[in-house]
Parts: sequence; C-alpha cells; structure tokens
Amino acid sequence: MNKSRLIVVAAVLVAIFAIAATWYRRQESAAIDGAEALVRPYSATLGPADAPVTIVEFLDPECESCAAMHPITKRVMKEFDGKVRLVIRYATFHGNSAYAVGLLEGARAHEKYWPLLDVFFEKQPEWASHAAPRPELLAGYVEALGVNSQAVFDGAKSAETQRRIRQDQIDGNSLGVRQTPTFFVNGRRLTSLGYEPLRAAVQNALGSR
Amino acid sequence: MVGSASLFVVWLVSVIGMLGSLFFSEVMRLPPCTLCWYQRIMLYPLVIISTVGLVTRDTKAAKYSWPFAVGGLLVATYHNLLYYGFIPASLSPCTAGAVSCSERQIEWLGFITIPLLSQAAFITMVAALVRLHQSSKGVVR
Repeated sequence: MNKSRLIVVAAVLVAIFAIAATWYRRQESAAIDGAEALVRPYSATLGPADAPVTIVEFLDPECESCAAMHPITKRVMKEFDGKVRLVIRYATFHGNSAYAVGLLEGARAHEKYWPLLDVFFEKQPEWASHAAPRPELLAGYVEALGVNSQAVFDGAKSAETQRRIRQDQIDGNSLGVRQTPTFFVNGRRLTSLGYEPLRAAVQNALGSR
Repeated sequence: MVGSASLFVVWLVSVIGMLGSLFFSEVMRLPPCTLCWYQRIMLYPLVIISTVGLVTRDTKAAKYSWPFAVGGLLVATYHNLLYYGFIPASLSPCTAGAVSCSERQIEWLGFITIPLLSQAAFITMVAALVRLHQSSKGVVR
C-alpha cells in the first residue's frame, strides 16, 4: 500500500469525522421547539417570570460539576440582573440524588429552597464523597435551616415530589440530557461549561431578540 | 499483493471503528458499557499495528494483529449474545455499572446496533488476517 495513498484515506476519514461531529453538535445546540419538556409549571425558578432569557439547568445535587457551576450561574445572573430567569430541573444520576432532591422540594414549600441548594453544594465534599457518601448528614442541613424540618421530610416523601422527580427524568431523557449539569439558554443547549460560555450564551440570547 | 491489501482492510476497518466509537462516546455522549471498553482495548491497538505494518511494508504486523482481532471477536460475540438475549442478562458482569451492556442505545434501520457494528468489524478483520495468512502460505495467489 502506497504511503501517500494511506495518508489521503486517513485524512478523508478524519475529515468525515470532523464534519459529522460539527454537524451533530450544531443540531444538538439548535433551539428546541418542545418548550413543554424544558420548563414545567412546577419547576423551581429564580428571577423574573417575564425575563427575556431563560436558563434551564438540569442538575444533580450530588454532582461535583454542578456544585462548581452553581456560583458561576449566580454570577452570570447578577451581571444580567433582572434579564435572566433560572429554572432548575433534576437529573438524579447518583445514589442519593433523589433523596437530596426530595429534601429540596420539601424545603420549597417553606421558602428555603435556594438556601438549601446552596448548602447542599457547599457541603457536598462532606456528604457526597463517592468513596464514602454520608447521606445522613443531609437531614442535619435541613434542621439547621430553622424551619419545621419534619414538614420538610414529609414533603420530601410526598407523592407530588416523587412525580416531579420522575417527570424531570422523562423530560431529561427526551431532551438528551446524559450528563449534569446540562444548560439550555433560551432552548439552546450549552455545549461547554464555565463562566465564559454561559455569559456568552446569555449575551447572545439577549442580542438576538 | 494480497498481503498488503489484507492489511489495508484491517487498517481501514480499525480506523473506521475507532473514529465511529469515539463519535458515539465523545460526540453523541453515549456512555460506553464495560464490554464496549474491552472491545475498544482490542480495537485501538490494531490501528497502530496495521499503520506501522503498512508504512514499513511489514506483513509480519499480521502476527501482532491476531491476538487483538480474535480477542475482540470473542468479546463482541459474547456482547451480542447478551444483547440479543441468548445469554440471560442476569449473568452479565456489568448491570450494576452506569450503563447496562444490554441497553439499546442505537437501532438504525431497525437492526443496526453498536454491538452488531463491532461484531461485523472484528469478523472482517479476522477474515482479512486469515486471507493474509493463506497468501503467505501460498494458498491464495
């Protein structure tokens, strides 16, 4: 086999790969029409309901990257103050995720959703180590909130909470959410994580209106 | 030149297999199951071995390809038996992992699945190596 011919064939194959990858990523980041699966009426939201930009985040309280992205998302929201609405959806990929999400939903009825989410992410190294998870710590974080923690625990176990977790799972599957966090900015999937990609996507969404 | 043509087949199939599997996992973000990893372990070295063999015109590269091609064929066969239910999934070594080896992630035209593609690739490569072996013995002219 001729060496140069070999190089040509290899180059063609790699080029096909690159073109297909670019095409696939573009398809993936194209705006999604099925807005219903993206935001449910029950979803926890932060920011004005009529904000021009909606960030939908599929997160898992037990996921490290979600904890890392959390302050970044808040920073971006602060920068575009009043123009961004954050919608939280769940992708319960880890062993104790559903339990943690249940507590969050329980805390929501007592206006302690966002503080508890902050605490879960901050304390994540303590309770969510992959080698030795300590889910028993979660209840303590709820008690420290200073609300009727029994009511939160009851809310966590309620049929409505379980229904929401299941619905988020179904919607996540239909939207192709396979990793957390997965962000959609005005229906467009964010293909890389970090401050700059998220800021740029919000800026873009504002500009294209 | 049956020798280099056969080695070229191994090279072509392994390169397509490598790029294809990377497309599934890195672009489409389908998590590879445990058995898929074992097939990758067998497939990727074939890319290197056949490339060096073709570039240096050394058909002995076939010798080094055998264990990988046959090993991959065995794993792929096992995977397909599992996937299509000939072996009960409860015996599978990876149901506790993140992805079950019998979970169907892709079904093109109703029958093309990832394990089937892998099986086809390893069968083709083993066949090419058999042909190369025969040609070196003078059976094929």
